[in-house]
Amino acid sequence: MLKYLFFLSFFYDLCIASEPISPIPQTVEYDKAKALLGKKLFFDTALSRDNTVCCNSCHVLREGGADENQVSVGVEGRKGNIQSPTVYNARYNFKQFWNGRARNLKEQASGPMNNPHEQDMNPQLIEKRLNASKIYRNLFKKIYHTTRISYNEVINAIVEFEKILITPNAKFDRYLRGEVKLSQQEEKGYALFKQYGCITCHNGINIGGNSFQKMGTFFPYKTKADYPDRAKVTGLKRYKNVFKVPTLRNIALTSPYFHDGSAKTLLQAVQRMSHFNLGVEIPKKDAKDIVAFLKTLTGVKPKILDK
Amino acid sequence: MLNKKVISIIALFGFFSFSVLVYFYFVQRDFTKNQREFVTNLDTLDNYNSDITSELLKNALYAYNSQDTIAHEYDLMQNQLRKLENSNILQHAAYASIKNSIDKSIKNRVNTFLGEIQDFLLLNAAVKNSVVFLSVHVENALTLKKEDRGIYIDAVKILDSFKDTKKTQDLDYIRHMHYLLHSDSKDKRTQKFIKIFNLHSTYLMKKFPDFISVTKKVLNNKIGKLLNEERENFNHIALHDFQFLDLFAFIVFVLLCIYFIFLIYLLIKYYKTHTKFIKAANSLQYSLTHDSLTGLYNRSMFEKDKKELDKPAILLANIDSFKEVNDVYGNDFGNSILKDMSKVMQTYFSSISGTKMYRMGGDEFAVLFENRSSQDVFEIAKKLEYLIANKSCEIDTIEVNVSVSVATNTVKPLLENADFALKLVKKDITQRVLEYNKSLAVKENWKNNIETINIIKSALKEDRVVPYFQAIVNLQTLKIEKYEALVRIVLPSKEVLSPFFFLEIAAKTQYYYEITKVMITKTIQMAKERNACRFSINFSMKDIINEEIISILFALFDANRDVASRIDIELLETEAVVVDDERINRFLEKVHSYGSKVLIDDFGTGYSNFSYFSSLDIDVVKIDASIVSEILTDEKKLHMLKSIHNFTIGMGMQNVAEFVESRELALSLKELGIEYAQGYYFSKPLPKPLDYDTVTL
Repeated sequence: MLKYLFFLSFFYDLCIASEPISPIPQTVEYDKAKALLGKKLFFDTALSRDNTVCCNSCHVLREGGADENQVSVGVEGRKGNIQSPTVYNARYNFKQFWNGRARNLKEQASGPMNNPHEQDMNPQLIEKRLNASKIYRNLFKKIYHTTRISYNEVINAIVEFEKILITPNAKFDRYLRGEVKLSQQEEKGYALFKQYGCITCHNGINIGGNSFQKMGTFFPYKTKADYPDRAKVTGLKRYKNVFKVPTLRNIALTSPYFHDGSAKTLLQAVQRMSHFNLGVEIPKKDAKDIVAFLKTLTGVKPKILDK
Repeated sequence: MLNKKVISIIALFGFFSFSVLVYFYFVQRDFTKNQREFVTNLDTLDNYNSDITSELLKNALYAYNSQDTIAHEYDLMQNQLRKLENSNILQHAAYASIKNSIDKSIKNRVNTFLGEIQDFLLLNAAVKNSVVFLSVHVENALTLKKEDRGIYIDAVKILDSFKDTKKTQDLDYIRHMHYLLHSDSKDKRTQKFIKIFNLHSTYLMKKFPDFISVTKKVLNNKIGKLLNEERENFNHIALHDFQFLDLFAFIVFVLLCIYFIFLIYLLIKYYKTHTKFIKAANSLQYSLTHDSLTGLYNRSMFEKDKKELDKPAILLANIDSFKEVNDVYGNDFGNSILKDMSKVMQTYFSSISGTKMYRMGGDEFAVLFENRSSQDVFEIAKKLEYLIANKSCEIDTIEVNVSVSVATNTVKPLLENADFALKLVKKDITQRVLEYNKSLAVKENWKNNIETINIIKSALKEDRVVPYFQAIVNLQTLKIEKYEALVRIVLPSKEVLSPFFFLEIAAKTQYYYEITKVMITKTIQMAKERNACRFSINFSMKDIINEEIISILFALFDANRDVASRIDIELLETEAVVVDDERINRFLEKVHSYGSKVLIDDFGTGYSNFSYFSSLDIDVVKIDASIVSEILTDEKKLHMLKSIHNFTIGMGMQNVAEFVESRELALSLKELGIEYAQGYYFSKPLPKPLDYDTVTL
């Protein structure tokens, strides 16, 4: 116990002194050639069985890295079973997918490609398709020094691209670094965000994405469909409706909200979250202030998208 | 000596112990590495556990806190568990029990713990949010109607109990608490305040037992204890391995010790052998370069040193009459003289820088000088000779006067030239020290020894050894009565070689007798052809004692009895062979028995003396050229001639004057009454006797 006390006294100052939210770094190290190849793949519909969808179909980079539809549409118009989470800043999520079944980006990237409702491919088919292309063969040969493209290299390139899909320099990050001031409303929104307890789950670099929480902690959240939740991964009933806490970065760009896409606006989302998870009916004025704060979380998209 | 078997056994043993050592090294390295890996994995997991626990505690205590660290450490712990499970050492059968308990209890415990963390985070968020919310909400009681504000006190009390419970993790604070507010007020705001408060307090009452239970579970997760137990179990098993390693190390140590003892044994053995060898080599080296008797350097050292000198000069010293001393006093005495002499000379040369002294063999010593002028060396040589000549040597109370002949030389070939000069010194008793110079060289002949022998050999083989005949004239009748057969070699080029060029060399070889044989045969042949004259053949003392020559001579005489009486024998006087008179007399008697006559050659010079005539039966005396040629100019010689003439007449012998080269001389000799003469005035030696038998004066 003494050890814990020691740790406590040590961290006490730190935690009081620093904000529970940290800014996204300005730059990250990456392999440019691989990332550009990954970008090409990210936008290539050849990675779906009927050549209709690509990664970008559901993670629309020019918007919030997510899908404006309640659920995404895969090959042959098949519908997905959950709202598409944003690909931006995904590298800072502790797990991938809503229920955290993938431990990292590499595991995640394979998911949609092999999902019959999404891209409906398999590694062999992907290899066959890409190896048929002279352009890809040359690109992979240049970068991976192989004559035959392998599935692992495809995933590797996509992951390398996803690694740089970060959105630094959001107004709030710049505020944290002391570069700008928030407006009165935004500042109040942030205070309320903390006071109401939103911060309890939405904290860290991604303002979320670092823990699982139950949708409907306080009041049970009624769902229409059977969503792939944490219970599906662990096999434990008490994890019913438990999902990864989603990131709030670029939240203004990624409506609709929640795993079921049921909240169309931020205001709606804030109010419903505080009801179900905090047991609090937030006054509309406070909710608007919080929304104003949330809008400061929109960052600058990476330059690689310009090329 | 070192046995090959022993060496190979030791080498094999060394190889074996080294292999064991290498094997031991790898075994202990693997074990140590695996052991460390496992302990590190265990410790790291323990550390992560502590870290994440403290993070969770922090998360429970603080109103708001980033959970990134928890997420990160959660991940680390999951990975670390996998690492621990895959520790290399667990593959070994001895650690099966550890593997088992890790796979079961620890893995389960950690996974349960990780699950509990999820539960904790869920409940913590819920409890924390409601407590925070209530903390804010109670303030609203102060805005209620005045009469309803009393509810604030109750609300704060309840809230404090919740806070205390959260802080102390002790349910006792709330177990029997009335956690619901109640008011009979009709005020809507009051009732709404109460409703919201009760909603959360009910919620908290419901969540707190689970929250506290899971918090306790998380904070007292017992993982540390389990890991400690496993660490102890592991150490216990590892101790066995360490003991085994200890034993192994001990065995390796013992093996190496034995090997080193072997090696030391070998080294000592080797050292001893080596020392013996060095000693033997040294003494061998010494004997190769030193003379064993005098301790001086020997001839081979001389040859070596000679080559290394830039401008060498040599001094050769030879003890005079050493052979005679040796013969008279014995070898031991001779050796003592050699030792004495070498000491004297060593002392002398030790005061002269740049000299090195050698015993060249027998009674000959050499000294090499570096960078000395030939005059210097010659002066040194003269002093040496003088020093020794004036010093007597006393050995075993016998006093001997020793003298040396010395030659010096600076002209290459160094030793040969010096040798040549020394031989000249030996020949001339008046000359004790001589420096070689080119004018001394009749030396070409010496050099040509081998060549000369080859000439003789081929001449004999190809029948080119022939007698030349020189007429001997009766001075009173002027008739040619006799011929002297003189040996010649006809070269393939038809050039005729006189004995001056080959006989001395031939005398040292067996060819000498061959030549004598040829002369006998061919002269007898000639005597057959020319039956009016007598012929004389030269015989040396050497020939007389050679049984083969003698038997050939007499065999030929027997075969040609009619001729034999006309063949005379001319005895040459040589110093080399001393033949006893008895033997000579037997020979002379036999010669006489054929009617042959015996002549003494070159009388009046060298070793000739009158004593011969008392014991030997001599018929004719040939007076030496050194007397004859000078009677016209030298009174003494004339007198000598007359004496010899009178003596021979008195002894009933005939005489012959040699080397008559002028009419004047021939006339004088005739006048003096000399009976015979030979020489160029009458005829030089020719391949055949002359066609005429009378000469004129």
